[in-house]
Parts: sequence; structure tokens; C-alpha cells
Amino acid sequence: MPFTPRSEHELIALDDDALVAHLRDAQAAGDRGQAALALQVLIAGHWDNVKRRVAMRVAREDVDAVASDVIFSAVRNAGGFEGGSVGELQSWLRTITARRIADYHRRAAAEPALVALATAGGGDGDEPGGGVELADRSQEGAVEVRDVVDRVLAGMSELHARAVELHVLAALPAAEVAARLGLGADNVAQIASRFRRRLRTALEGSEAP
Amino acid sequence: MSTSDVQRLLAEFVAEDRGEVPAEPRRYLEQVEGRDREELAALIDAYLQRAPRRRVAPAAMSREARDASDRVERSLFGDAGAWPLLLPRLRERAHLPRRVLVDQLAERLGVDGQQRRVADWYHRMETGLIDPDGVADRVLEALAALLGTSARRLREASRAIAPLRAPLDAAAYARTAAPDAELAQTARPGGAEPGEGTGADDAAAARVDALFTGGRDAQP
Repeated sequence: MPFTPRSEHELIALDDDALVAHLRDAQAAGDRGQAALALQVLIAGHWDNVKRRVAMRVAREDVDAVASDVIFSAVRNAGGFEGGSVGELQSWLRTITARRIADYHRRAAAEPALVALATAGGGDGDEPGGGVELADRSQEGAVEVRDVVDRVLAGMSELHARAVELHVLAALPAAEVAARLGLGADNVAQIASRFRRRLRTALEGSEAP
Repeated sequence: MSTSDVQRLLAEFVAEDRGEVPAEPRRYLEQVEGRDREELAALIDAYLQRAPRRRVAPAAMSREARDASDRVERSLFGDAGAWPLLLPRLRERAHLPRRVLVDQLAERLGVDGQQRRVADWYHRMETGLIDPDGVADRVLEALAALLGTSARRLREASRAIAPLRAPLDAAAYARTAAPDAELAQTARPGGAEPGEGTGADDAAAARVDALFTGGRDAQP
């Protein structure tokens, strides 16, 4: 099927995976302008979220570099540039952000003066290619804390985890979450309370801040 | 502070973040300490992980986001792998303005007097408009020494992306890539393309060109 260019407005309206697929199709069709526009829309929309995640754990002067590397690696992987399937950008962003922050602190310990860029198959993670960084070790223990929410959620049922995501993490009212998931509002509040207790316990079991 | 305070701060953060301007985590984290701060940071991080893409136009990007976008674009679509991401980053960390880097690179390569030509080739490295296999090991060794890394890492970075298709020509790329403010200051060497010798400088220019196009073992 011939490649169909889209307006900027149309690209902004696409979801992530459709946007990545368009980027990939544009590049395959040799339409550099469309590929670049799709990439810019992706980065414009994700930059602040990635940067803020990175900024909570990485020295200020290195935030932009790590965030750029995250975006680059995520687009490469979600775009199938490494030979895999196309899609799941959000998932790649989540995974790679956590990994790059961990890499940043780990490599600082090994090579404090060196900015390293891992190559295909050579990084600490299992996604192909990518990887920066350097840093001080002051946040090394805290990096592990980042996974604690996911660990606690993984210990809950899928329905309860979804309730936490909507009520606690997305701050939706308990009544709205209850209606959406077919639960009672009181039940949603109890689930949230249980999650918070477990999160506290998990944090207390992790390295002291 | 208590769990309810942490939850209140998270709710306030989320509410602010749903406005036009992204909320700043540090402003909220500064309101709590110790384990409360860790809990709030973990929750904000979990929220940001799940936050959908902002539906904003590229024109609304901050300068930092624009710079990142340009570099990712050059790395993703150019011919030099991750050099457009890595080289400017290393140069910035080394606090080396590009003009200074180029002067020192020319000196290390033994091609004093050819700074403008070296600048143009280096510009192509930073913008992904060069075949990395044409760049001599000697160039990467000199660059690595100046940038505080290794030639091996620079070589590996140039191969960080498997090509999807035949490389697009430089002119086509130049039409689509947004200009980098610093790179835009680069003067072209006498209006000549690299690879095109000019009069009495032909021999010297050819030596420089060989270093950037003649393959890994090229010598000046």
C-alpha cells in the first residue's frame, strides 16, 4: 500500500504505536520529512515525562543527555529498528528509563570520568543498543526504590492493581474507579489503603534514603 | 507527615500536571523528607510512567527538547549511528567549544592550517552526514583523547543502528533536519564541499579528506 503523508494535526491525534508505525513507514518510503515530523511529535509529547523521571534521580547536568538517550533507545526498539516488532513505545520508555538511570549510577562507580555508550548487545540491559552514562553514586540505593511500586502492584490481583493505578496514581475519585471496574467505592478505598500500607512496608524493607 | 499527606501531595501533583504546564516534581518532593519523600518520589515516578503522551505540536517544545529531538533525529536517520547524540554530549561535558575542539583536533592530526576543513568534516560527524567506516582510526583516537573517552567506544557508537535502507543523500537530509544553533555557526571551507580541493591547498585538503573518507587505516 502506498505511503500516505499526514498533517501535523493528524499525527498529533495518533496514538503512540500508530505514530511509530507512521514514522517507520515514512522512512521506508524515503519520506524523510514525514519521518522527522512523526519523530518530533513523539518527542514533543514524551519529553517532559521522561525528563522528569530522569531528573528525580540523575544529576542536573546529565538529565538532558540521559533523557535523550532514553528517547533514542525507545524509538529504536518500538520502531523495529533493531529488527523486532513495531510498537509498545510506552512500555519501552518505562523500561528503558529505569534501566538508563540504573546504568548511569552503575557506570559512575566503574568509570567515574567516562561517558559510555553501549552498543548493540553490549549494554547492561537486554534491549539492543543504546546506553549512556556517568554520575555520582549518591542516588545509587535510591534507584532501586523506583521499582517498588511495580513490585507491590505485582503482588495484587489484576483488578486491584488497576484500581490502584486509577485511584492512587491517576487520582481519579473512588466512585468513578468503582463504576469503571465494577467495584464498590468503599472497596476501592480499602484496596488503595492496602496498597499504601504495602508500599510503606516495602520501602521500609529497602535501603534507607 | 503521613501517608495521607503523601497521597495529598501526589493528588495535587497530578492535578497540576493535567494543566497546560507540566508539574515540577522537586517542588512537591521538597515538602516531605526521608521515607515520605521516597514514597512520594516512587508514586510520582509511577504516575509519570503511566502518563499518556502530551498532545502538543513540535513548535511547543522547549529548547532542550528541540536539541534532543534534533540529535535523536540525526542519529536515527543519519549515516553515522549515534555520533550525533554522543559527540556533542561528550564535547559539552568536556567544556570544549567546537572551535577549540577543531583546532586541537587539527593539531593532533598534524594538519595545522586546515582547521576549516577539519571543522566541516567534524560537523558532518556530529550531524550524521558521514560514512563512519571512512573515518580513520587516527581521527577517532585523537577525538577520544580530547573528549575523555576511547576510540573503541566512538567506533562502536557509529554502528549503534542497523541501516534500514540506502542512506539518503546529505542534501535531502539538510533540507529536513532542523539546524543546531552551534553547528549553524560553522563556515564552510571556502564554499567548497569536503572532497573538493581548492587551488594551492589541494594537497593539504586531500590529506584531510583522506582522514575522514579513506578508511580506518588512512594517514595524513
